[in-house]
Amino acid sequence: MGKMTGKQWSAGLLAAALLILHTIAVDGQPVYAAEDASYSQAVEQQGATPAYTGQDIVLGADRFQGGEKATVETVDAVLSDENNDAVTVTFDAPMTGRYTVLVRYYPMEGTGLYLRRRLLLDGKLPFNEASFMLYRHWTDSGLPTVNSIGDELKPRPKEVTGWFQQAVSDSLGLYSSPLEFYIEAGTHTLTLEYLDQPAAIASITLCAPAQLPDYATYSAAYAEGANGEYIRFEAENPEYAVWRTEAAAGITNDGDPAVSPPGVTNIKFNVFGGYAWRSSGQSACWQFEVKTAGYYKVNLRIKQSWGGNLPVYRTILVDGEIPFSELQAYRFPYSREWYSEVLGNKAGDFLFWFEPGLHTITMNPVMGELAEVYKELETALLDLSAIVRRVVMITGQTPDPNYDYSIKTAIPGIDKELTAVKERVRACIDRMTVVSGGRTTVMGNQLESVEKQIGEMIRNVERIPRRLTDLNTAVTSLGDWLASLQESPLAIDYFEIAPPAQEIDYSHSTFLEKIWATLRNFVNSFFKDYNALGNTGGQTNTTIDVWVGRGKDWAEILKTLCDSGFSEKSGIAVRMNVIPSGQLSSTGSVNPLLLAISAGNAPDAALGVASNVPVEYALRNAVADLSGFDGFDEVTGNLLPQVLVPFGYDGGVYGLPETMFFRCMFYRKDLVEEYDLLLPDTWDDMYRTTLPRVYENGMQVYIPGWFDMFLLSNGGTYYTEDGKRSALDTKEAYIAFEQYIETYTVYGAPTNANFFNRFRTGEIPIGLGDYGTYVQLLAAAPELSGRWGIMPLPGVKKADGTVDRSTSGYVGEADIILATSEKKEEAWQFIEWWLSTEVQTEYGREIEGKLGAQARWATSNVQAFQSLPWNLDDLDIISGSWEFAKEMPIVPGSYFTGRHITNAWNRCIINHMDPRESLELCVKDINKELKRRQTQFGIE
Amino acid sequence: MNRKVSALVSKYKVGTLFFLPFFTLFVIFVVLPIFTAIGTSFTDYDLLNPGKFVGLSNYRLLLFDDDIFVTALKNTLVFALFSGPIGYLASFFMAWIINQLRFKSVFALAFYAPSITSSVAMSVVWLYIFSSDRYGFANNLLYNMGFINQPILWNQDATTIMPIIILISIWMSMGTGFLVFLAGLQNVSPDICEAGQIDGIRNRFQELVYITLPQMKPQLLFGAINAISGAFGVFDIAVAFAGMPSPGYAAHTLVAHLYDYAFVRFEMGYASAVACVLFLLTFFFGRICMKVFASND
Repeated sequence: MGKMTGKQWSAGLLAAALLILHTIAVDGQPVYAAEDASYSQAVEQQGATPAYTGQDIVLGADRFQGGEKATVETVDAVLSDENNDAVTVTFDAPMTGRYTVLVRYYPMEGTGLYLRRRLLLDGKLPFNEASFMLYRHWTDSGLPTVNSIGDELKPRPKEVTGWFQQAVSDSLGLYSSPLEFYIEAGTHTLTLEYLDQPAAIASITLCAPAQLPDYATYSAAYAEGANGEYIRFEAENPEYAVWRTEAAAGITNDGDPAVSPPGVTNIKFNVFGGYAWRSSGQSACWQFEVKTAGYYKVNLRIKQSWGGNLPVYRTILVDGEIPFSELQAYRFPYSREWYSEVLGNKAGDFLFWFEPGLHTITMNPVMGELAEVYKELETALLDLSAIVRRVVMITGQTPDPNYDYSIKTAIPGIDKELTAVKERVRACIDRMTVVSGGRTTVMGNQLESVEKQIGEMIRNVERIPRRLTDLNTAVTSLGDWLASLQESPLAIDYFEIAPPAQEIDYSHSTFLEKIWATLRNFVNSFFKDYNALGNTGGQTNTTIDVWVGRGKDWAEILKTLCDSGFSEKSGIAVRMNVIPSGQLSSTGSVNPLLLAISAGNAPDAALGVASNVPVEYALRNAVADLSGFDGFDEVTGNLLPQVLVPFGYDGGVYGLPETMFFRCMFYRKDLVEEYDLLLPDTWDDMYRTTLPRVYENGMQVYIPGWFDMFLLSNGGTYYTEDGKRSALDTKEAYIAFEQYIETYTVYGAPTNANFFNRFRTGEIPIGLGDYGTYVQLLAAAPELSGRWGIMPLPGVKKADGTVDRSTSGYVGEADIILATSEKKEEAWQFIEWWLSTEVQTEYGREIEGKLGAQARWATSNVQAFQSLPWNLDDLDIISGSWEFAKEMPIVPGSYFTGRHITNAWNRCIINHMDPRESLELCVKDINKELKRRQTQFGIE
Repeated sequence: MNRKVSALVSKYKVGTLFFLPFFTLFVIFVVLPIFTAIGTSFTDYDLLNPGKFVGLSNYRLLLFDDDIFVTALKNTLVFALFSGPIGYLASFFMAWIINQLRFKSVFALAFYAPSITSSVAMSVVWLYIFSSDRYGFANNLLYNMGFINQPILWNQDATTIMPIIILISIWMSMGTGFLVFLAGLQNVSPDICEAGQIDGIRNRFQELVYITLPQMKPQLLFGAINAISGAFGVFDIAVAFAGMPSPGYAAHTLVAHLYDYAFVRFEMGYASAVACVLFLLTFFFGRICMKVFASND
């Protein structure tokens, strides 16, 4: 570069100032592989076909081939599960037309998730959405119980088993009516393929698509009649909320003072739904009794404050059927306050005729009028991604800002394509404004900035390579907003089934009422111990103190299980305190446990401490040796032997892991296929074949800085057998370290990258990751569902031909018993109970049921781990990796090892020191510290 | 005798009552811990078991056998010498300029605000700007301007960590010192300025040096002590940016060193010894300032 003159400097600074305004540093765009055969395409093609108008064609279980027959609750059925994964039936269609399909099913015992099936006609999948879901039904097992600090605890959900009938519908909620299948007259076969969760199928019925009258037509048939009586019930009352299809989308609490019953200073589960009730397919049903026949109007007390001014929609069924078309996607507008919504339209309230007896109202989230916006946005996104890919093909992933790529000639018509995208985005914005009743929406504003960005690019096409990141940002935003369009949260306080003349309360809580509520909460905060999870009573002899280093939700479930499962049986009450997760680690932070021990206030046991804490504390006589307790062998029999290594010292075991993670290689199925990439089995494959091909296509591979993986799979270890000296001066360690450094310096793996985002965009189609990455992809990348998979880590090929994939990273958080405890035996009983297979399995199911897949419980109990709802192929890979898990023992002074390896890495990568020299320095420092510690603790 | 005492008491009673709450808290939470630390520095205390008296061995280790201490000392002095005076001068300069503008309070708030924000919150912003990956703000800017081809690892490269932390701590140093300067500047009596102008002061700079500064000696002293103790106590921001411990001990200040020993290595006694050395160092520089800024009233 050389010296720059003053003029150049000021020009540079000016350019910098201008660029600051335009350059936004964000990560890239999600890449969607083209989806063929979608339902909307099928509708376009078959739209002209008339709907079937005949009788329902019921295909009973006796006509099914390929599945084992069974009788469930006196109904003849055929099984559809892992062993009976495709049942077929032949039928005659009387006329060419559009048919809807109803399935009568009985969900069998499984892992509590949605049942997924695929419908094939004549052996072919008619469209993507024909992979559909059947739902389980849940209800609360009772009323909430109140704990000793006055908060309510959620009752556990229990499954309602039985025979259910459901139409094949799309699981996103884009289409408010069931999917219509195009069938020509003649003989056909229909196959039901099993994807997940077993069920028994009694019949499949082909019906005419429902023709719904509008309300005017429907109510024209109303005769004169009396008006009914006033009925009101709370939406959260389990006597009325008879079932719902998503266990986690149930009752919740709202602190607004106008809610009935109010729960201001204490947690009271007084409403139904809320943010948890937002996805299509999560139906909920309420049942009520009518004593007087008559006309009724229906009022719902609603809160919909999540839409950013956008409304949400629900399909409303009365007695299991949609009475008229206005209820197919009923609109609930956005408001920051609670409001009363009487079902009706501009012409007036809807009136329903109810005879005496039981009636039901069922609600299901759908996208309603936002479905069009969703489709437009999705098309815009796909188009924009395609444009970006074409640009990248010319400029590469990192365009040279000084080169003239001649975009106009290289991609003729790019400005027209970008204009088309811009217009689509504008159409979405306008449509959203209309749908929200003329108000600007939050999402609309965000899309406007995207529109502006695209507009700038159209004006100056040649600057697109410089602004590649902007394009990427635009695509990411579109993707994110697309995901949020699928959410339709709604909270319901109570229902009123009332005579038409009934007065409805339209008011909401006033400003003063809210201030008063806040004030009461504030005063209460001085008296209420929010950390203690109160007890729910019962007879107990002793009490132990346990600190849980996890979030409140996790600890609450643990407490509930403990009260009913442990305290009742053993007579030991557990006083649980929640410490923010991460604060129970010893390195680098002042943690409450340490201070409590110094102050003499230590608990009896602590759950969720970092894995290096037990031995460090044991060296200083602060934790108890667990190996002496009764039942220790049974407990450790459920764990992998390797995960106990970091907790052993001098013959004793000072902690037991409660979580166990894993490491694997993630890959994008679609990109690996498209670019014909090799999934490496060994590191040689990676360096010689995979990396070059990946680089040829402008992508990268993510290899995190796991030195332990390189060290262990090359046959090295951290310490000598006796744990007294560092073993990083052996030949294997040098080879491993050199490989570790060269991965970045010679083979060009990125040293810092946001793997999650770049995996989504397709910039990094292959990468190594762990449990955290897996769960993140599962929960936060729905658009990638089915397009990514895992493989074992690449390993080092040994002389005898086997591949060594050893690595650490399996040990999670641990449980300890403090040495100062006077109730060690009771604390051990608690830990023994907690780590048992039944409890770990139940806990894993509950936490996932409550918080979703992102909270997948990575239990250390091997059997429990395998019974959680992992994808079976993934589970094979994960459990296969267990034989390669090797953990580092903790010796006095071992905290120095990690630190100096990082320093050694820095010296090589940044300061270009020779790897051998760097490692030797590192070993010297580590040995010095180990020696010092050994002297301190009197180890020979 | 009693009358003298009661006269003394009644003269100072109200004043004493005013500062008593602060004084009590100060003694309990500042003075007592200093003595405790001095006491602990002669023991071998690992936070989990009671301490054992070991005499001067901690100090011996510290002064003669600890190479990281030397690095920490060097880092701290570099910090102090750069961010101390520069921050001090910057605060004063800013205060001087703002004093001459309208809307003083608005500007004062704008400059004071960074110092009351939590270091952790600030570190998030700065980490975003100086992120080590390709898309960090600084990297992206330099990349687009063609200065670099590979992202600079700002918070991992030992040579870049120190300057950035100095920059951040200067930015955050407009604290109470700055407000005090502003107040002091506003207290300079205009009569003396007028007298000075009559006596031949020609420009602002002369006015500054000959009139304003001498009038502001107490405030300057306060600002200097603040700046020194702040500069020696840099820790939060260094840890938030570079990690603990920082790569190659590049941002390892004395406070980081003592934190490392106290909570990572469970050697509270040794950490207390480091703390005492730090205390003496700060005290020493503070005394120098007092000599320089001594005012005779």
